[in-house]
Formats: sequence, structure tokens, C-alpha cells
Amino acid sequence: MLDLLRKYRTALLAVTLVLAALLLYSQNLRQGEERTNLFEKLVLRVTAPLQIGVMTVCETFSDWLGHYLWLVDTRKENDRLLEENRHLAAELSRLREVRLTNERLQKLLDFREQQALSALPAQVVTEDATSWFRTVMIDKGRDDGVREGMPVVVAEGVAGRIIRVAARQSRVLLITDASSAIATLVQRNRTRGVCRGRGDTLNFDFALREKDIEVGDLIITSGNGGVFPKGLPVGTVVRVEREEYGLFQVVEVMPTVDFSRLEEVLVLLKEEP
Amino acid sequence: MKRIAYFLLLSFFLIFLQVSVLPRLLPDYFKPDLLLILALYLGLTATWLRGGLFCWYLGCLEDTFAGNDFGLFGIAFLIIFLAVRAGASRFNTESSALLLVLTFFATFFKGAVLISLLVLFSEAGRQWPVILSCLLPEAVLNTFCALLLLRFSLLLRRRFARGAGIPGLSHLDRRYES
Repeated sequence: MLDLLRKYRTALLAVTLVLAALLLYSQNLRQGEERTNLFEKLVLRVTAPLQIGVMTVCETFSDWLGHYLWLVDTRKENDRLLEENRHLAAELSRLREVRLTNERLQKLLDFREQQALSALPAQVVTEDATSWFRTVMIDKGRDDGVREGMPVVVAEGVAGRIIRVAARQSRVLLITDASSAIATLVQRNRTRGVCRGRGDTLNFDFALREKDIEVGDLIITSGNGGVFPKGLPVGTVVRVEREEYGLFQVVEVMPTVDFSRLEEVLVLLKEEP
Repeated sequence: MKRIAYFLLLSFFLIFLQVSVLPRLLPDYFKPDLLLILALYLGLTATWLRGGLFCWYLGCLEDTFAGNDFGLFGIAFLIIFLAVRAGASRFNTESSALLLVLTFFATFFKGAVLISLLVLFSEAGRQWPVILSCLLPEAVLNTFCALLLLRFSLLLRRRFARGAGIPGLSHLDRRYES
């Protein structure tokens, strides 16, 4: 027996490792109350300060680089004007950034006031580690009252929902991820369907062939899924295809949120039972 | 023990580069998988048990920052390690060009493993068109990053540990030494 074990030691080891990995994966596939495990909490706790630090350093560096390039351009014209120009341009750039941030935050604030639920502002810290999934990390976590399943929105509409929570950070599954699905309806005629992510766009699934859906129709949340409140904009219909046969039509939706420029978001907090 | 500590630090540094630094420099949804390169390097140099466990850990680390299901990349990295380790004896593991070629093909293999796992175990079977559309650019980017990492590790060795060899890559091709 021992000889047999020794002979197939490598193969047994490989099979054991793969089985253990599969077991861990299938365990995490189960939808429980708490999906963020100890390993994830530990890693996120360790990396959180670094990520926030890098974000600050990158912003400072890009600000400095912008000012330096501006300096090189103006030096050719006049040394005195350079100095004045640089200061004015830097000030203008800073003010413009402040104004843009102000506008974004004002929109978020207006949106927050419209919502019956209390909302927690958060900043996007990092994106997904791969190009295959659509998730982002935000700088608010369990200590701030964030829980798994909470909806995440911006002024333009729905952004996603919380899937992992650590003490100071949370991960948001964006609506464009292929594993995301939201109960939605067409605002104009109340046709119901499910919006599923396709990477960059969404599909409005289960819309019956005979339903009147047109390009430009606004898709909003129906409130049926139990995650998102009713009436939040999800996207605009950009393509409708009705084949000769088949029960449903193919409807492509462009999200109202520009996910490549996602900076500040609101987490809609639910009341604790 | 010291080597494990180095690898842990290196893995944290690479994932930190991958999620915090590189997305600011590269276009949207165009991200290299630096941990995959490390997993391949382990496949060429580490023992079955140590390498297997460490690659599983690397995958879980990636899972913490990617996707919806924890453990998915864990299995994928482990399977990639086992495949590379099984074939390592047939290759000249001292050649750095092997790591570059492996990186290119391992990206496709990783995509195939992920698609299979998602279709078999998860509700996210619709993920495969997204994965397929990103595979080729990611394979090219990963290969380029592997080349940069090789050059960088050689530069570090020349500056700080001239006598020391990089395990498994101690006789690197002369073209990377210039």
C-alpha cells in the first residue's frame, strides 16, 4: 500500500490540491449572508493604506507633470510670462478641477436628497485586477456601515452592487459584468425585462417580440429584484432586433453611467433589521 | 522560509502594481496578469507541493481583487502550475525565452480554464464572450510584461547581487544581459 502511495505520490498530491481548490471555490459559490472570507479581509486590510497612498501620489504626480509640461511650453516665449502663466495656469487647472469635483459632488448630493434611503459617498480606489471582469474597489467598508448586496449608484444611474466587504474597503460588481443581472423595465411603456452585463454594454433580456421597444428608450430599475430601488436609470436602448421567429427580441442597452470615469459613488444604505 | 517571505512580498508588490498602478497608465480593460507570470516561473522551478500551494495562494490573491467568485483564479492558477510542472522536464527551463513563450500560451490556457469553470460551476456562463474578446491583447501584453520583468530582475541582480543566480534562470540567454 505504501509502495503504491509512494509510486503515485505526485499524481495524488496534484489531485488532492485540485480537489481542495475546487472545494474552496464551490464553498464560496454558495450564496450565504457573509461572502467575504478571512483571507480576503486580511489581504484587503493590508493593501488598503497602500492603495489609498498610491491614489494620492498618482494625483499629485499627474498634477505636477501637467504643470511642468506647461512650464516647458511657455519658457520658449518669455521668462517673465512663463512664471505668471505657470501660476495662472496652475491656479486655473486647480480651480477647474475643484469646479468639476464640485459639480460631480453637487449632482451626487442632489441625487442623494432625492433618495428615501440614506446614502454613503465613497471614492473608487482601484479597478478589477483583470480585464475580464468588471468590478471596482471603494474606500468604504464594514466600519462605515456597508454590507454585501447594497446598491451602488451615481447621479447618472445605477453603478452596481456590493459583493465583498472588508473593514475599510468594499468591492462593487458593476452592472456591465457578465454575472450581473438587474430587474428592469422600459420607462415609456413599462415592458419588463432583465438587464444583464456584456462587458461594456447590457442586454435587455426576456422582452417579448410583440412589445414595442425603440432605440432611445430609457431603461430603469423595476425595484423587483430586492436590491435596487425603483426608478433608477440603467441605460438607453441602442439596438433592437426582432427575428422572424423566436419568443423574445434582442435589445442592446448602453449604460447611462460612464464606467471609465467612475470616481465618486453613493452606497445606498439599508436599514438594519 | 526566507524564500517564501520573498515570494509573499513579491506577490503583494505585483498585485499592487496590477490593480493600483498599471490601470492608471494603460487604456481601459487592458491589464496584464503579473501573477500569472510568477505562477509560470514557479511551474518551471518549484517543487510540486510548495509550488502548487503557492500558485493556489497566488490565484486566491488575484480572486480578492478580481471577479465575483472567490477561488476561481485559485483553481486556474493551480491547474496552470500543474500543467507547466508536468511538462517542465521536457523543456530547457534555463532558457528565458521559454518563459516568454509560456506566458503567451498560458494566457490562452487560463482563459480556457476560466471559461470551463464558469460554464460548469457558476451562473456566469455568459462571461466567455468577454474573456474571448480580451484574450489576444492580454496574451501580447503579458508576454511584454514578462520580458520587462526578466530584464528588471537581471538589472537588480547585476546591481545588488552580482554573484547570486535567479533560481531556474541562472544561465539566462546573453541577449537579456545587455
